[in-house]
Amino acid sequence: MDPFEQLAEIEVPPVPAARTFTAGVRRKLHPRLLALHLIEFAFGATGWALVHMASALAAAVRYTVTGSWPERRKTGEKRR
Amino acid sequence: MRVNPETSDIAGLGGLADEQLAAQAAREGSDGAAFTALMDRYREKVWRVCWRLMGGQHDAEDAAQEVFVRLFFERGKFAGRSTYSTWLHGVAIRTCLMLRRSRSRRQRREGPGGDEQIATHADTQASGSNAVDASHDIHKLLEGLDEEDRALVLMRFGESHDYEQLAEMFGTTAGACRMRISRIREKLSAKAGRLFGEPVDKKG
Repeated sequence: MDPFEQLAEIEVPPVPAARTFTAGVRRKLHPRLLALHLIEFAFGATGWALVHMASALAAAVRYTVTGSWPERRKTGEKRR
Repeated sequence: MRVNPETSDIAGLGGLADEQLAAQAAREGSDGAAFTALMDRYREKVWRVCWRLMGGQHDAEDAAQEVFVRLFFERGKFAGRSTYSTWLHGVAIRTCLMLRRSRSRRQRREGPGGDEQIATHADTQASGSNAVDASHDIHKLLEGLDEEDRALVLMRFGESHDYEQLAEMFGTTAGACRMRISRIREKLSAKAGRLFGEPVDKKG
């Protein structure tokens, strides 16, 4: 008999119970999902914060370099 | 589309074909009803693959759970080039190979004194009959093969997949699989003439 054919004759044990198996999958899946969501949130939040604080950061850099703080202008007021 | 008759009826999804269920699972944001139904439908098939490849109840269960975790993250990648079942078998095989490789790396790092040893079906089978001794021998021989070659033989002969399915699972062609199995057979016959010495029918 072909030795490879004997591999098919080895019985596979019964599959683990659905409840414990599914619980095991969820135990592995949920921490990874949480980590993924946290990473996505961190990246998203960093991008949002950078976009919204970009003008303030630019002004702070300009103040550091030039020593003059940009004047706040009222709406409609023209630059002198 | 093919409807799996062994399906369970989770939230009325039992009547959906595998591919429809997969598409629905891909749209779900979390492990919802469609993903649970897929898991229920394929638990046994994935378990069989993992048990064959991992060699031990505990490792097989761990690997099967890992397969479904990986399936969750890759659930949107099914492109419909093969049946869903074949694609999922491919995911299961890749996961088992990855786990076996990382396990052997860990064992090499820990050295022979490491407390964890790779369990094989050969180790877990009690000797006593010629058939069991022969399967013990063949498993010992397979352990000496490259991981992917070993998986190929186990899927071809243990699970009786045809070459087209094997080609999809291993990302190659049917001809390449046939050639590879023929080379493995030659290699093993050179190693163990006692097992392969007799004329064998050329199924592979």
